[in-house]
Amino acid sequence: MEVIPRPEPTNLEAFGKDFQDPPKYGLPSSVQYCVRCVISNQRPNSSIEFLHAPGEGKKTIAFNNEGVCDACVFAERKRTEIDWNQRREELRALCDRFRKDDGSYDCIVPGSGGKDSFFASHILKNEYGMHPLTVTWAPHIYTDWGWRNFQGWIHSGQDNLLMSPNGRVHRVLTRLATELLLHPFQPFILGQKGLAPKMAALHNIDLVFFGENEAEYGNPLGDNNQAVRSPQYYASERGTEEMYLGGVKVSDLITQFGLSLNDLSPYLPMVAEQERAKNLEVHYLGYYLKWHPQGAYYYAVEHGSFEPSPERTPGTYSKYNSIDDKIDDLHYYTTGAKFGIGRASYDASQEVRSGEIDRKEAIALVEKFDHEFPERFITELMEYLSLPANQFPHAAAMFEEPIMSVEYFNNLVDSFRSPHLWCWNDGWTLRHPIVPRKD
Amino acid sequence: MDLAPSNRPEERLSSQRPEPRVIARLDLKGPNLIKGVQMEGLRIIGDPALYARKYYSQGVDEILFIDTVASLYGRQHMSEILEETVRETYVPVTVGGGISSVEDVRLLLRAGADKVAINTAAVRNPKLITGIAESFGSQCVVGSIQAKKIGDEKWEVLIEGGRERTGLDVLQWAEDLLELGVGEILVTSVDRDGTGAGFDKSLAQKVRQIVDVPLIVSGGCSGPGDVLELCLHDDLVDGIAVGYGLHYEKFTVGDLSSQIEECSKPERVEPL
Amino acid sequence: MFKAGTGRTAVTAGTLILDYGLGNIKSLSEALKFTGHDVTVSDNPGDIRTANRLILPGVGSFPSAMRMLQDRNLVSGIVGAAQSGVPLLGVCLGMQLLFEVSHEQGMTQGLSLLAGHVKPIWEEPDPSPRRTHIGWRILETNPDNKSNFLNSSDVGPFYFVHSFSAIPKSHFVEKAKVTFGARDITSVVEHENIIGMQFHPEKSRSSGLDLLSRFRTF
Repeated sequence: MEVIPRPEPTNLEAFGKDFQDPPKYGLPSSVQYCVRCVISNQRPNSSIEFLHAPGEGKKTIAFNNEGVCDACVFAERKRTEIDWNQRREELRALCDRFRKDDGSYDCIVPGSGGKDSFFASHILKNEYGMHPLTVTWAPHIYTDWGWRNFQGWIHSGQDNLLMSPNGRVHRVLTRLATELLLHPFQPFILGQKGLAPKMAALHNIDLVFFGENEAEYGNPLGDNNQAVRSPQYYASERGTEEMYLGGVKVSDLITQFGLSLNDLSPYLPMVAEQERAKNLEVHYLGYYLKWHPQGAYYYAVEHGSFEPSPERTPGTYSKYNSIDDKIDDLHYYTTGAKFGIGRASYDASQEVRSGEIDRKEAIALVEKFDHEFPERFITELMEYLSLPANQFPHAAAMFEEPIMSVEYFNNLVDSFRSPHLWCWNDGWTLRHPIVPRKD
Repeated sequence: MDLAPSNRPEERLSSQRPEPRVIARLDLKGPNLIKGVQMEGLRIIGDPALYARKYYSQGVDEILFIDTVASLYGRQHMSEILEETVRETYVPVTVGGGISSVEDVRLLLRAGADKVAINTAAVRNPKLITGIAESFGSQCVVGSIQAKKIGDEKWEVLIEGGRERTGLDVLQWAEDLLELGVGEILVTSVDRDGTGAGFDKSLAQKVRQIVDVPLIVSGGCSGPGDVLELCLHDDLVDGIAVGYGLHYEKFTVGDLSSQIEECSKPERVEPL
Repeated sequence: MFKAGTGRTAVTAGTLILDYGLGNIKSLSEALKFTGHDVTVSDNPGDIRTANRLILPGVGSFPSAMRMLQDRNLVSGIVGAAQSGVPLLGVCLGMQLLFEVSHEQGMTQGLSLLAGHVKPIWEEPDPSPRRTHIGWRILETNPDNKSNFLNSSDVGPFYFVHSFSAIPKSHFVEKAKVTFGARDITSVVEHENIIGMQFHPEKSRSSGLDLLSRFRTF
């Protein structure tokens, strides 16, 4: 592949009052907001990250005839239709099937020590008599409180294996994912989803418990009927030559970026381990236990030493959701740029569905906090995303400008904005904010 | 006449100063009473006026209403709840949350409030405190501080419902508030809020050394034991504001005030 | 009930709260209604003439209060009514206004119905331990100086919230006090038909409500 050019300042004319370009990423051309929460129809569903090539189209969240999004429809079902007693019975039966009393681990619980993994591991151990081995895929850059919560988790009574990926490899992939997909979080997500099944195979454990199904947040409604996570997310029949990491073909990563197949295997789906994983079952605990993020926060505080972030995360009002990785700041900011949906929108929508806040408050929160620039860690993050030649001799050569500055970052972000969502009016503004503009 | 009982026996001897007060703290959002942990994850508890009446009947000394979304919406919501509460409870009511002008205060006092608690607006516009004190008297202004621990005996002032940092030192800010004319100081430990992990005693001690107005502490009360902790020091606090423990019925107002009374007996008291 | 010889009619019998713009009228009004008063709230000097009894509330600064009373032409009406025997109850700042002068924000003249002045509680001599006196107190009375209004059971506790207090010239006028550290705080004053309470009876639970009820028949 060619050397990656530096991003040029965007042609702002394309973002004027009248615009002509079609929506990027195959997004719906007209913007619609759910009538119950505050999410828009631009919200992308999850991708299979190791097949994620640049420029590909996105499937987005579905709305029903009444204008209610899939996530809200499912939230309603959680409240009214699902028989949680029965689901708990199913969980008990599942645990009974896999429980080991010979001293070995009987399930893997992946997580970071955040509220969700705390809840999952604690309840499985204490209420369902399981012997979990928790596994953690390290964040890019720990926040202080994230590290403390991770330690707190272990000290609340859990065994843990921490996998920290090769720092240099991680940085190259993060830079590439940012540069080509505007998706700085991709390397984290790859490991977060891929590590647990591999660890299960390595340790001869046949059961993995993830937390909530992503479908609760808007992936296709039908996905919610499954207790079991589809193997397509963590195993593959395809050869690695067809796979992409950071938006770059694996073969190119090896030949041009100085990375080896061994360097990349933590990010790739399991191939070699597949044999050992013949009996592996990957379940969503959220299928069996009614998931309530705020409830998990309270649980983690009451049963452990969980502390929320001492400061509000940029772009939102919340302090207990996803707080252990500094790269998170960029993740939500870039999502906001690509899809017009900021972090406050995600947090507020979730809280509306849980009954914590009403839509009116959600809107006020979105208006106040969405798309806020992540000032607090930006210097450190720019350094992290830079690939100086002395540390990255091969990768640096593949960039016209391997060092990232805030200006570079802003130009890059702007190049991913879609004119059907954003207009330039002495600053970036949404064409269709949730409270319609007066002009 | 069917009147609410007083919680203090008349046989008690009069003393040289008021006893520490038990203040029920009710955080409000719209029409709801809510409660969070470390000011996060706000959970709906129920009808505020109902809870206010309940605490009144348990003998509470004062009621404190804090509107947690006022600064988000940029306006006051409190009047209806105030009016309903005042109709049936004959104890002082303090209101806070998003109060940012002298006119806001005037309307709240007319609606039944006795004191106003000012937090965010004081940081953004310190002269507001002076303005309110001049119009309505110092005794009506409570300087409300949300304190987040940032080091050994060091706390930072947070505003906007504990969401924004200010870089201000709590002890310095308490002194400033005093100078601006507050009649009372309310210090809430953000770290202890909603945890039942006990009051932040060293925070109380440090603030006490600086302020010569009544000091109310809030955040972390898990019951009479914590009250005992504080009251063992003579003259440390003038009141405690309690939310979590009361709303989740871990203890009653009576449990706390009995403990305070115990502490007020002369033999118990140690010098600060 | 009205006193004979005052030349008033019984048209608008009742308790008049003088709402001159300062204070928590709502609580006082609710408490009075609860204790059986027929309550009118007004700042119209004309209404003073037809009232059976007057309540002078107040929260705020003495100078502001006097200014507002003057702006509304209430001063002569209040003084006139008090001097002709109409029961008058001053609450908190309202009690302080009954006196001759206050030292708050300079020197301001009051209604001068009672001799004495108003000073900050934290000033020498005998300063209070806090700048503001806030909390529940039990009253101390003097058996040699009995009140016509207070009973021996009216000890309280009552709720105080103030930073200034009145110092009557005459000892007899002070019917109850509390001590705050080194400082004596005059809590109830009484002279014929005029009563003053430094505390808030409408905020003092049943003890306060008892007093408000009694004022109806004073």
